[in-house]
Amino acid sequence: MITVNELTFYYGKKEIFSHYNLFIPDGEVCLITGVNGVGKTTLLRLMAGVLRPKSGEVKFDIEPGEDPRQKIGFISDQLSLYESLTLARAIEFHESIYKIANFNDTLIQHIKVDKKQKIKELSAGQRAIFHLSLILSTEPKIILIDEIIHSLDAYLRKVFVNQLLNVISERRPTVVLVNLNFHDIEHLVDRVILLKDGKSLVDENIDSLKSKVKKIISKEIPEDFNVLYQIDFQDHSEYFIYPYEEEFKLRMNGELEDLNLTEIIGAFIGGEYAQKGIN
Amino acid sequence: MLRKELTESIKRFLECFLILVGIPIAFLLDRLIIKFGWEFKDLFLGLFYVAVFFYSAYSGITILQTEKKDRALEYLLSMPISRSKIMLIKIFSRLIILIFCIFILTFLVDFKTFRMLAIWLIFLFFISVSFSMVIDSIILGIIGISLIFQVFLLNSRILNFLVSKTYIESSLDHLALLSPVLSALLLLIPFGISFWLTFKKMDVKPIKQQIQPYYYIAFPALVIILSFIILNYKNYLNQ
Repeated sequence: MITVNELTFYYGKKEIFSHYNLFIPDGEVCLITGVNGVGKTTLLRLMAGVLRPKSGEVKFDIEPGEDPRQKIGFISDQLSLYESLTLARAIEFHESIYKIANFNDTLIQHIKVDKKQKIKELSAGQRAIFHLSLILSTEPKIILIDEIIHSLDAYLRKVFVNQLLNVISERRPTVVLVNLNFHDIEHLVDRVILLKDGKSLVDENIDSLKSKVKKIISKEIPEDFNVLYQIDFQDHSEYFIYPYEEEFKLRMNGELEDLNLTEIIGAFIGGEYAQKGIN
Repeated sequence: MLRKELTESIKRFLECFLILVGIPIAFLLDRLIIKFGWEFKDLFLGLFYVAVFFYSAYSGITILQTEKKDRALEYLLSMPISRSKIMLIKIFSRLIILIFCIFILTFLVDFKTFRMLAIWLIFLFFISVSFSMVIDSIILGIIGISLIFQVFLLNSRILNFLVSKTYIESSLDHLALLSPVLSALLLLIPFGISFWLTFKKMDVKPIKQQIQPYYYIAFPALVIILSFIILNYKNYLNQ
């Protein structure tokens, strides 16, 4: 469980969050998204404890006196690790801090590395898989993963996502993902949070979101339909509608299409850019 | 963590003591050196001083260098280890090597010189640690520390002058360490507090946004000490 309570955070003088609240229950897989610079990574870093809020707090369901970071597995978008250490020393270091000795090297067999290699010699994909093995060795109750999946090739992406899926089905940790590439993780996600101006513009269960965002292909639509984003073609337009209601079907001419998560988020983000006059 | 930090400290130590590699070369040039009236022991001692002084400053200023160079700060701060423990381990692992060097000095110099050198070296180490937070560039750091060290020396001399004026009648030997210790504390306390306050709250934000304690504690203290030096410098020269 993660409770974000009245969180306020600034980068210098720039306000990123002001009295922001969020609750993520145990075992939920939550996707945080939004346009670049909206504060997705900042929110994840605040949850991981590597950034400190100006006011407010991030609370976890832990024993009194326990360090919440003991229960958190965090992979940053920088894939931050001691690059000058060998894999073997990095594992030893990680185990010494978390006071564990159960590193499982099944996952790193996929990346075909020697433990005597230095981390700086690994590719981004290899580092991501190695980092995932490190954090999973501590059996975290909370997993926070920033936007790294895109840096993996198709094979490693599959390995990464499958491993995450296994952990989710076996141990049901709370997972927060920050991502802009949704195709690979759509089947993992329970809930989508779209940030805008330091607030949750959208905070929906994925099935509910899919039922509320639809694409209408038509020449025109009634004025009271809330159009997120619109793409014009010569003889018709594509309208991305949110929130869509069942009765709209009776009032429209044209085709109605369901959308996948990538298209839904694309519509929200496209809409934001269109509002700013960037197409 | 201790093992990693010790390995790093030993690396820094070896880097600084690479200067001793110059000894065999110096030995070959011995005959030339003798012409100038030097001795091999003097040369060794001179190089040892340079190395140990450089180690105190370098090991202090680079205390967070691995995290900066490796981009590992985010990883370290996400781990279940308190910031105080991180810093204590880092300081301890570097300090024991410095203490070893100071111990070696007991065999090389007389007791009076040793006492003074020990204070200088420990001051240099801790002031460098407190500087490590503010300055990213090692070269700028070393320049900054050299300037602060000059302030420390000058302040020590002026304090010594004022103390000797006050205690003119008494034996000054037991007061010999008073002025350097006082001068060291006058600088180390504000810089140490600023460092600690910054480090306790440190996160992955740009460092410039986190060093406010230096602006309202360390730098005003430095200005006060500099003013004190300027005000008393004329009297000190006229002694």
